[in-house]
Amino acid sequence: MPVVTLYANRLEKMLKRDMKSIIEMLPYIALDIEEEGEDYVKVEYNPNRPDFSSDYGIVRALKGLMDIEDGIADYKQRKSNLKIKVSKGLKIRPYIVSLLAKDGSLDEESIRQIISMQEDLHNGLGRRRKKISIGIHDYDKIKSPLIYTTAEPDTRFIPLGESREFRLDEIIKQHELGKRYGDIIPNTYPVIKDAKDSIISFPPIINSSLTQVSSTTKNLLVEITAIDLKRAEDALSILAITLHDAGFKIESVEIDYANKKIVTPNMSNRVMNVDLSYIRDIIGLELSEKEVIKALRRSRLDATIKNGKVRCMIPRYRFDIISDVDIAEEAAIGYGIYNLEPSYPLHKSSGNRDIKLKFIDNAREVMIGLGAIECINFDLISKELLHTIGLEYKYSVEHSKSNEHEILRPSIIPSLLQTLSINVHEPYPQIIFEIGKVFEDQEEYRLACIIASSDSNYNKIKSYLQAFLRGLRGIDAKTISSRHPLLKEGATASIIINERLGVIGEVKSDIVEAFKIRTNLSLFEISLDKLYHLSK
Amino acid sequence: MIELKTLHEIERRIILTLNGNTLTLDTLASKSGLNMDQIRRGIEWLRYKNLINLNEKKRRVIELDKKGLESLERGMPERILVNILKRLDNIRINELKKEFKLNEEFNAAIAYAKRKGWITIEDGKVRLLREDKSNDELLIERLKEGALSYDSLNNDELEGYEILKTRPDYIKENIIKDVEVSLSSNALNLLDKIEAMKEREIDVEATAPIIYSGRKHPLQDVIDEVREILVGLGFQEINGNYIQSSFWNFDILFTPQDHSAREMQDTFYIADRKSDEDLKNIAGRVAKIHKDGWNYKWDIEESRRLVLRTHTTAVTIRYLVDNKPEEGSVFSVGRVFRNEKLTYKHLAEFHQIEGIMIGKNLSLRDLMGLQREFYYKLGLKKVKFWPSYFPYTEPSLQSMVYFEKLGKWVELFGMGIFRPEVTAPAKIKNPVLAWGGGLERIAMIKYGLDDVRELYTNRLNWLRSVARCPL
Repeated sequence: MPVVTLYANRLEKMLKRDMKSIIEMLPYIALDIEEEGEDYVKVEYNPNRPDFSSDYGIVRALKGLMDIEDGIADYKQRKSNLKIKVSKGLKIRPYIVSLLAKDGSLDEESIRQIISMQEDLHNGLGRRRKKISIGIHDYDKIKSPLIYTTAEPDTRFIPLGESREFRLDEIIKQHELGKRYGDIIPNTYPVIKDAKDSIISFPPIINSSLTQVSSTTKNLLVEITAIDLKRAEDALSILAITLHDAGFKIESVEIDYANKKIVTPNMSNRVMNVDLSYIRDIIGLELSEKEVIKALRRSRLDATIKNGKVRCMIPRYRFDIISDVDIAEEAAIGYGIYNLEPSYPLHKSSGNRDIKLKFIDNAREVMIGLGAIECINFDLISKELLHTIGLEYKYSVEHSKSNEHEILRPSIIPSLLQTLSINVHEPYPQIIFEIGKVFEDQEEYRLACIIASSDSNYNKIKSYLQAFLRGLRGIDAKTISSRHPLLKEGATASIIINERLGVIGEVKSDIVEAFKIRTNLSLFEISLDKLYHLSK
Repeated sequence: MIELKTLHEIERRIILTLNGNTLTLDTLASKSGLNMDQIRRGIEWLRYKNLINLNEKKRRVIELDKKGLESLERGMPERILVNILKRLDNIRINELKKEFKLNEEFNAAIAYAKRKGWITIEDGKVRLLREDKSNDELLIERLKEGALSYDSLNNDELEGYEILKTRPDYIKENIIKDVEVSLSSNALNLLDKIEAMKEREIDVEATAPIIYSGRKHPLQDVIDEVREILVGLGFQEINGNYIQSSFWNFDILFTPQDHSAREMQDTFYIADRKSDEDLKNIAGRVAKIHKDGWNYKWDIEESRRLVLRTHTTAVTIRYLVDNKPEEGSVFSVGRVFRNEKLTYKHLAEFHQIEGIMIGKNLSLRDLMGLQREFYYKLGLKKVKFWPSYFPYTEPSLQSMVYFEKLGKWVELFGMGIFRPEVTAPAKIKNPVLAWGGGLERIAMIKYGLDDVRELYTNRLNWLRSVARCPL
């Protein structure tokens, strides 16, 4: 989850409260405290709240719950003269939205907060810039109007952070960001140019060094290019409210598509009508109308109630609110989760365990009664382990982060051999077993047991198998000579009860040695699914 | 000074049997009723405690050799000769030789029979005089039972021995070293006390040899404890597969198809396999909900990709869709998977517990109450709740629980009410309260582990040492 760093000096200034009481309140707007330093805390925020991607958004919410300010946050914008013309040739990334933020100033930390917000929006809402990408520019370096169009691969400009001109195709092939994001715009070169024909941005890859923002910048241009217009407007609304809170005057920009003109940002509130009783039912409390309105206002929404209907106003940047239930949650959070008294539900039901799992519990109990020690290993094992013992597999996973977890084990035996291998210094005899899923032809429960001792042999393990089958099912199995890659020829058998249920035998000495075990091993493995489904 | 209480029963019996005598080990064994193995062990212990003296003594021992053993079976040659004469007295010597059969022994048989005064030969005819047992015959019979000490022979036997010694291969003689045991002065002084000790008193304080009991895995203990609590709270257990289609793991739970949780870097996708399940009408309803809520075109093929379930909710929601209960409580405890590198606090596979309650008029406060009750039964009395976020529940909470053992608050289970975007396509009408989380953290606290991987390492010294109900 994305992380925001909150500095005590900024928060205390913005909220006029001490840091201790601020930190106490953070969890109640669903922020997880990751790290607490002397003058800062790092918090994780949930992906449904991209408006929390800077401290400005977090402060906005805290003001509500700390009774500093409630209702929909103050926001104003004016019209600017800036126009962006969109060329028809943009097939892959056809949308652009924009705003101007004027007459503000950003100190170093404010710039850091906004850049970190931009990165979070790129990764979250933008799905790693694929759906949207954001450019923030020093507007005073730009000559309006702008055009969003495509360029030839050999067009040149100086990318942000570089000291020489690059060709666009050179950026894709050689620049770090080009290599990382180039796949989003295959064989096309979208650019934003100003009236002097200077490239100010090569979305979604990189801005021009020309428009770089610094602590002396007064006026900002924000542009967002996208494959999805709604998502671009969502992101823009967060930038608008954030820059507004940071002290800028927001101005709208006219976007001139070939067939229509739109003005962005559009920050009008939405209205949703929700039954008052629904909110009360979800929370489980007979809140009064006044309480509900106050709770929603503390969540930085607004509401009126008439005839049992809550008319709820939602600011543009709260696009995470899509259903009635989201309003109910906002009411619960605004009311204060700490004010809700838990109540045990009056609900009649009788509990029981799953029948098959109960069977498996019984299997476990019989094995323990035989003096065996239960092991629990992972279902995912390495290719190498299977290779060591020459077993085949049928199920594997894609792109595992570790080569220890590539294959869904086709048998429990490799896991138990590994277990014995790390326990060679422990007293023998070692009688171990494991019950777990294996994925041979299909997913099934199996039991495997290994006896490691100097007197471990076929007869010994067969005694255990017999005792297990009699103890669990009151039956005997046939053991018919067979072969198995891990087991000695002549001391290997299939376990048969109507059909083949498993295998029993003595482990080959080269396998024993491969696991650096210095005693004799005999084992059995049996399908608990098949044993469960047996009938008379 | 020796502590008498620590005398083993074997030691006690040896001391009482010796009682001032000097005995060989064999004699000691037969008199004490202990077997040689017990005697050897007991002697070793007593010697170490300075309660006995050992002496080595040499002894001549005689036993039968080859011919002696033959004689035992069929008689000495002169005896065979005499037996023939008992049937055919006064026969010619060459006829006698024919009857005798053992040619090479015939001359010796005649000579010894004459020497023993049993026969006389006149005019080439042999006549029987008497046939009394000779001393050498008596000795051979006595040696039937095995070797004898030279010292134990009586005068007749000694005479027999002198005769047999002159005849080759009848008898052999060895020198044997005997160990003789007697009580030391220490033991003699203590004899009265030892006699007074009760029979069968053994060293009850000594540690016995170590054996290990069979045992359930400690993590399974925690799983079973939680299952028992939930059954007690009226929950019914359900169970399902580890491999699920993306549909049941994500799509039905309103997780958009481009959600980061669905990326390969978080989720294990099964290679080269897809689900061919017929999703019937529900697929259409899910497509519409995704379109309305997330503003994109839902792709059924994407939903057919198989994953290792990232949560047990895949099993829960399938249960709800299949059974459409109006009310009820179900739970499951099972393994879930995340594409993670293993660290001391993260696993790629772990156990999740999840419970749901469905019914009319269930609320967020009920969910909090349910949770508080569950923790209470686990022995965790202090709980607090914070808002949280999950794609498929709203409102969502997380719980913090105070562990006395650690003296701090620990984040445990997440919870929420299933979103209408989840329940509507599944045609579930009543609210569904859901909660769940990983079990390993509880197990780590219970067993005092700092590294979660320890739970899956299966070190026998740990598995063998974890008590079921430790103090």
